Parts: sequence; structure tokens; C-alpha cells
Amino acid sequence: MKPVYSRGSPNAIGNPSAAGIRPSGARTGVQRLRRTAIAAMLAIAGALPPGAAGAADPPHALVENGKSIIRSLSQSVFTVLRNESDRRTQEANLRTLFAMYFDVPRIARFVLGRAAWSRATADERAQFLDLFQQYVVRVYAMQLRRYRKGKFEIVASGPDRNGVFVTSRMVGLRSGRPFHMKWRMRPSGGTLKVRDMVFENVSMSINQRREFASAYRRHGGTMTGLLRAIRTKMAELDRQ
Amino acid sequence: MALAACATQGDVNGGNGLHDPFEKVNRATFEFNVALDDAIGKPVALTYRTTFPKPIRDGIRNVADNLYSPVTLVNDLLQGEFTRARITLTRFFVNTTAGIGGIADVAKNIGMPGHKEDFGQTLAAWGVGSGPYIVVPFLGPQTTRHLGGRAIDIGFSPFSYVLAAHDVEWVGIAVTAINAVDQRERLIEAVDGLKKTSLDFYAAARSSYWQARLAEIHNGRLPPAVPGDDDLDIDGDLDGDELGAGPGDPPPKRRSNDNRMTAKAR
Repeated sequence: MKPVYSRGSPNAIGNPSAAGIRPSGARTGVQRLRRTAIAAMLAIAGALPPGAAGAADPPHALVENGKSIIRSLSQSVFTVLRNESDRRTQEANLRTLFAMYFDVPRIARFVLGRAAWSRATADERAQFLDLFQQYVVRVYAMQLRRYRKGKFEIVASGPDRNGVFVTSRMVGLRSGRPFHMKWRMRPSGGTLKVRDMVFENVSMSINQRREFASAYRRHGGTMTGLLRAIRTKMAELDRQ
Repeated sequence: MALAACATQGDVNGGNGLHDPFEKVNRATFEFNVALDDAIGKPVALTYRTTFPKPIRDGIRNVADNLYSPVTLVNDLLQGEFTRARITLTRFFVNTTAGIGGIADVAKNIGMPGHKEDFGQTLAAWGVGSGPYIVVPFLGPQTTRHLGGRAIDIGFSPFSYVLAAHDVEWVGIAVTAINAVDQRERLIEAVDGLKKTSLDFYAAARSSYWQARLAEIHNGRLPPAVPGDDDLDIDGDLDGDELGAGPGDPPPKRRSNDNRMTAKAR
């Protein structure tokens, strides 16, 4: 299986520098080892999601496929969070995982809404897609850091329209209570990809769609305004 | 009055949409609530968290939930949910006795987890529209249906009569206050995250409220799809057309089956 929507070439996943893992000049041996481990983990993760998740698959196989993909995604995320302390590198690694496991182009388009998408120029769409990925990863990287010590378990799964849902639970958090997350997956490019994450009954795609619609309207009803708003927000998050 | 508003406003597209005709006023009230929460709500919740260890907080919540269960029971019955009503009743007896006045949620441990119903949900089950979205000072996001239901629910609680008969209404107020602090404590991380990261906190809070509320109304399942209302449908916008299609996109293909989960999430 190859990551269809990875921003780099499929080989980038196994290549530490392309996967956002900077060559270390003055790094210690242990750090270098960790980096290699993460790069290896990402490479394995890239190979792991079983392919051939076509519509002809029996539902049971499709559901099992979805579960193993989510399990592999969670392992990769924890590896990045636990072994990588530099924020930038962490984000770069998570961005690779996001592109690999999520149907980013479709999510981005859904979030922008049909009207804004059809009015946008090709260049604005490309800018939005790129910015959206960066923004989402920055937001989740901030949230995920709190869950580093948590335990991830799959508690339910089943067919979901033409795809699969997998429900997971995070326990053992330092603060806050255990929470449920439903992963809604759809076939895409010969595998299953995550289309939406539903956090305690609140869909992140739908939340963002409404939020972006409101931001679009409040920033002059243009893509330029929306893109500027996202950039400003990202800079704000970067300072924290 | 609120009920009349519900009946006339209805839901956008007759289904899952939320109407926000008073957005300007709502945004101002929202700002006020956020400032109030920064000054009092969150600090109190943090103090509550650090003062009482988790087992004690769980006990407090269990007692408050147990005291609320008669309201859930009445609404279960009004919605014709007799199996759920039986669970609510059994839970009340088990937790009040074996759970020592509701401190321990014994029923949950024997495979009978709780749920909450309110009259706003009952109205929804009866087909009453949500009414417009309103941000209420101190209380936060609501719909007129939800708010109207709250007023009725007070009348459903037998404890409010008992307390009034003994001239100790303050106990009820104290329980409500503790419940509010407890709920806020549980949301500390979620609210912080949303506030910090959202492009438009007001819109994000409105959407989160409405999605969580729809899940409550539909007892944890996704609400059924309503034709023309693809805002809640992650497949609706994209099925049948290719990525990159430009202006004049064909309308999305609709599926005849509903989008309810075939298995319950939990």
C-alpha cells in the first residue's frame, strides 16, 4: 500500500529528512537512535494499513481492516509523541501521518463547504489545502501532547454506510476524564482512510465546517480573508 | 411563550439544522459568558478539582445524578421509552440502597449504565422544532425548546416539592450549583482546547453544543439524514463528484438509506 495523498513521494515516508526528521548535527547518540526508531516506525506504519479495501469486501473484513489501520495509526502517533520532544519535528511527523491515514483533500473540501470551494480559484484551493493540513496538525499536536501518557483502546467497530467506524477510548489521563473518539472511515485510493473524528458525539469535520463558514463570512466572504484568518491563528498558536 | 416560539420557528429544513437569527445579540452574550467564566467559572472549577480528589468528585456527581433520575424517569415515560424507564427506575433503587444514597453508581457496575432525559428532549421526540439558538447569560448555549423544557423539568422533580415543604429550597440551589461546578470541571480541557485553537470560538461552541444536543435527543445515535440538509452529512457533499470539480458542481447524490450507525457506538 502506498500513501496516496502523502505530500511527498511514497519513499518520503522511509526517508528521515523528507519525513520531517532533521539531520542532527550536535545531537546525542540516544537522540539519533530515537529519530531512527521513529523513522522506522513511520516506514512500517506506511506499509501496515492493509490495502484492497474495495466495496466488494465483506463488511467483516472491512471492519477488521479499519480496526487494524486505527491501531497502527495510534501506535505511530504515540511513538512520535513519546520519543520526539522537539515541537517542530513532532508536528512534521504528525503531518506525515495525517496525510497517510486521513483523506485530507476530501476533508478539506467538506470543511470549506461547497459554495466557497466552487468560488475559489485553483490557486486558492491549493493554498487552502496546504494551510488546512498545517493548521489541523498544529491544533491536534497541541491537544495530543496532553495524552502522551494515556492508554488507547478500541471499544467498538462496525459498518458505517459505505465505510467503517471504529470507536476508541483514551484512559489513564493525567487530567480530564476518559473520552471516546469515533473514527469514521471511507474507502479511498485502495485503502480505508479517516474522513471524520467524532469526539464524544461531536464531529470535528462538522464543527470545522461551521467554524470555517462563519470565519469566511466574517472575513469579507472571500478566500483571501479566510486564508489570512487561518494564517493569523496559526501564528498565534505558534507563540504559545 | 418559549413553547410558542418553538412551534413557530421550527428547525431549518425540518431536521438537524440550527437557526441563529439573533447572532449579533448572542455573540455579545457569549462574550459576557466567556468573561464571566474566565473570572469565576473556570477558577472555581479548577479549585474544585484540586480540593476534592477524583473519588469524592465522582461520589458528588453520582448523588446529583441520582437525585435527577425522577426527572429522567418521567421523560423516559413521556417519550414511550419503557425499557429505558425501567432501567432508570432500577438504577434509582439500586443506587439509593446499595449505593448508599447514590454515592456509588452500583448499577453501572452491574451493566446498567445511566442516561439523562429532559423535557426538551421529550418535546423533540414529540416533533416540536428546536426553535432558534439563544445564548443565555450565565447558562450558555440553548435553544428555546431546550430552555422551555428546563422550566418544566423543575416541576417534574419530587425533591423540589419536598424541599419547598420543609422551607429548605436552598438545598436544591446548592445541588444545582455543585452540579454546574462539576460539569464545568469535566469540560476544562475541552473548552480550553476549543477556545485556544478555533478560528471562531462562538461558531465552534454553537456547533459543539448542537451536535452534543442532537446526540442526547437521539440517544447517542447520529440523527437520521434529512434531504437537503447535508451540513451534518460527511458523505453528502462529496459523493458522486470528483475532487477538483469546479463551479457548477453537480448536486450531491442522495442515498435512500439513512445514515444511522448500524451498531451503537458504545
